[in-house]
Amino acid sequence: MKKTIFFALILGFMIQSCSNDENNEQDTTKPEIDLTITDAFPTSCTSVSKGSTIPFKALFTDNQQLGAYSINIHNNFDHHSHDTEVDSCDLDPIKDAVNPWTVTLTFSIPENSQEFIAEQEILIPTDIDTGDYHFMIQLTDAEGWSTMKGISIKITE
Amino acid sequence: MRYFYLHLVLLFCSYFAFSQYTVSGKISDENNNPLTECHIHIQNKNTITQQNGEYVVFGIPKGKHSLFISYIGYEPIDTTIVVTQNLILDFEMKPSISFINEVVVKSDGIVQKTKKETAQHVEIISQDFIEKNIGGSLMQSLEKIGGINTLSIGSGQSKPIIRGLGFNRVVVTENGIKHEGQQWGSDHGLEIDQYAVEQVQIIKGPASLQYGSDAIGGIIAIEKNKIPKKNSLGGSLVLTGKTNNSFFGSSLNVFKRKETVFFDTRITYSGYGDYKVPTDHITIYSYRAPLYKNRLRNTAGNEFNLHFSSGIIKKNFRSVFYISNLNTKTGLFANAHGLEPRNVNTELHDASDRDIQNPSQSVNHFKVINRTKFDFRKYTLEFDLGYQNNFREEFSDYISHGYMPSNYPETLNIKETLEREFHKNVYSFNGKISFDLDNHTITSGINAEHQNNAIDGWGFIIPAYRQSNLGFFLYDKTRLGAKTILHTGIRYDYGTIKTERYFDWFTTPIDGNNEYLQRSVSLKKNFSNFSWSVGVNHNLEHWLLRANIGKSFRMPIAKELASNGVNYHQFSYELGDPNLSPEITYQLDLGATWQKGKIYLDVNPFLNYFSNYIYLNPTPEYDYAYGAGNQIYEYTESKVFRYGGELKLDYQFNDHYTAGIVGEYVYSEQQSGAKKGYTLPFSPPPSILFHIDYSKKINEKFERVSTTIDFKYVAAQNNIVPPENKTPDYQVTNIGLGSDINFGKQKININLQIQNVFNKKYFNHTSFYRLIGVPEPGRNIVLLVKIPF
Repeated sequence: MKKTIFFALILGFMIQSCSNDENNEQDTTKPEIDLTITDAFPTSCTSVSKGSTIPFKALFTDNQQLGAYSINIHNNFDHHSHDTEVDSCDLDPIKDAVNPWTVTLTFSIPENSQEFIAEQEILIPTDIDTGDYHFMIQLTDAEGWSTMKGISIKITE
Repeated sequence: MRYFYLHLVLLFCSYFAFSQYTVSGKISDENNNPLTECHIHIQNKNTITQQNGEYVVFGIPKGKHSLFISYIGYEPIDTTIVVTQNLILDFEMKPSISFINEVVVKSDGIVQKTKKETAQHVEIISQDFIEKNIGGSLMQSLEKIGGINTLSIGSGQSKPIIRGLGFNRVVVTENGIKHEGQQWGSDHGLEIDQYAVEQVQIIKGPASLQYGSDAIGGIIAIEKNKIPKKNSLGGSLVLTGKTNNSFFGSSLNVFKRKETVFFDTRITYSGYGDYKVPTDHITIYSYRAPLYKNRLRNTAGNEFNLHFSSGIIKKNFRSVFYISNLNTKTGLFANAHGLEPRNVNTELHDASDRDIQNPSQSVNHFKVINRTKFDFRKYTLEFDLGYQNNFREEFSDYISHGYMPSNYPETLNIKETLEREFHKNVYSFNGKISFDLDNHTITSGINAEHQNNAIDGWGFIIPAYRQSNLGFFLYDKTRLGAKTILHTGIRYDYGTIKTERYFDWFTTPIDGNNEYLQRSVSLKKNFSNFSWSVGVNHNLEHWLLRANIGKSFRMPIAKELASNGVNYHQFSYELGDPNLSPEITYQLDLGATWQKGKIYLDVNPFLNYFSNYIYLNPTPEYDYAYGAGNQIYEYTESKVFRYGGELKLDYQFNDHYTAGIVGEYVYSEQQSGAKKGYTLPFSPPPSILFHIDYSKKINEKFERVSTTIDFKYVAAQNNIVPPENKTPDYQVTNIGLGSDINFGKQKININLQIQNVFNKKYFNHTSFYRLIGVPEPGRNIVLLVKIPF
């Protein structure tokens, strides 16, 4: 009985002491993708033509340290998924893909960056289907927090 | 032992009896067998019967008093006595097969006995608790219990979380056999028919000793243990309706027993529509998805279950077969598949709130169990044999992700809407012998399980695999005098897992070549482990004290060893590690129950250390080829320290009013690895539940009328780990009303609940839909009517 009470007291102290060193706060802030800076590209519902270059430009920020980013472009001819930013863009009628464009690109960000302006020139092939596409941007910070934006764009002749 | 109880009773009375009269007697069952540890309650005085069924309550003042006798599985006796002299009152209790009145969970015999003789914290929940608190699925009905949380997948599916641990870290058993579904998936609910559950026993904390691997967070043991009385024929019909999701459910039970042979059968059907949330839109990233009439689009579902059990009961022998088939189909929120926002054909989806479109899931779980027990004079032998077939299909419109072809190839031999399929066959065997030797009760046993898992569908997340486990245990319960019980146990387990190879059915361009990527290899891993446990019970007059320390383990699962697929709905590329070792945990559990007069207090703290907690760690990296540009999530191990506990306090004002508090707290911290300093995923925030209960027999027509008001405060969860979101605090109020109504000879039990009375918008940190910002269901009026016959 006495032993048990003693045990309970010890446990109480341990819990007390543990709750006290919760002070070293962990990073719980996600990185951010900013497409409102000057020349940011692409923004929702923009059009680009085949054979031209997509001048990707976005500002990435994090409270501590950025990680990496990736870009994925795929067709949305079937209207399967949604822009993450706006209610809707004017989509072309649903159609079957013949020779759609798919591209995945992964990039690193210089270490210890809290701010980084990402710029990439992405060449659009000429032999692809025109129509509605999704431009997906994913971004992480060094702790593994992530964010993404899915932008609806149109590729024209 | 007998003298101990007598002693206890004497002491009990000498403390606070201003003695006038004594009420004593004997309590027996219908066959005149004495009932041990029945709970007797006269005018706020409690006692339990001894082993010969006798009881004594001293110090009853002159006058009219209510007398209440309860024993689990029996109809409680609730009557009024007039005391003018010493009374001898004998009672016969009738088994409550056809009808159970409300039994206050804490005060019945078996619970008391289990609390006194188990070194770990055990909660025993009866069928009427489930009926009074009925939610969309079993775990949602048990949420009021301290330390128990649920991971809800919409309004009709859920999975258990015990003290912050869930998935493969909680073992669910049904009639002694470990339930095997697809526990690893956060959108995979537990395949249990809550209407068919007669008793649930929950062990919070690691309990590898009994069930081997996986029982690292706790055990939920579901029993269908009611045996009809001799020469009886009866049954019951339960009807349930809910306003929030236009739910209608019914469950019909019929049983019959002759002298030794009985059968029991049940059919359950329920159907429900899209559930309503107190918001008109859901914000997925910055995209605002409007909801039609507050309904969470495409979350309707249905369930159809069949049960049949039959057995033979003799004096020294009992053998029962349990056969069941559960079939559920549920829709998933259409505007997002996981974290991925989806375009919705609102015309199609909003035409009906009861139809199930894509995405959806369909599960069939078939089970056959045989439990056989030989009760010889000197020892008992028990055998459980089980076969389970779990067939799970996940449907979604075909969407080309990564380098999948844009159009679904006609040549592919998979149904176009079948994204994933899991098909599992499980064979189980348990054998156990127990005998008494002086003051020792020794139990020794063996558990064996083999499972065969196949996969199908155009999406890949885990490979097909085979798994076998074998375990032996030896457990000794020593009675040291009348007050103390010492428990020691040791167990050895051996397991093997074999994964199959898998190649993508489409090509990925790598350095100019189109390649069929290999997602999993043929891998064979063996694991073995010794686990142990030492515990003690020390039972005093008003105090029941418990302490237990033990080592438990968990074998890594196929997903942790061999995942190599993109979970497009989470934007994650999940990568297993074939070199993971079995997860090991050490836990110290303490517990104290104090019961005196009007006060009942139960405190259960724990300390827990994982030397290698297996964890899906979101890294900052992206993978081009295998990950199709998605973030790499890899399975890693880290040291984890956890502590917490539950508190339960009840105060009985008088015969009719009781007020109580249930609190829970868990703290987890990773002490090594990439997420050092962070908590574990799905950590439930601290919460406290206040309740006031009123119960009274109004007249012969309205028996045991009861009212409950629950007010729950859940603190904010700011202690999070990627990819979680912080969850703000909330308060939610529920009201319950219940009564037994006698219409002539026909008894009807009615339970009415109003859940989320104020239609509050709040988020549950452990809900599947939390990450895309879907609030919990709005106000819900639930009516359950039980008609026994």
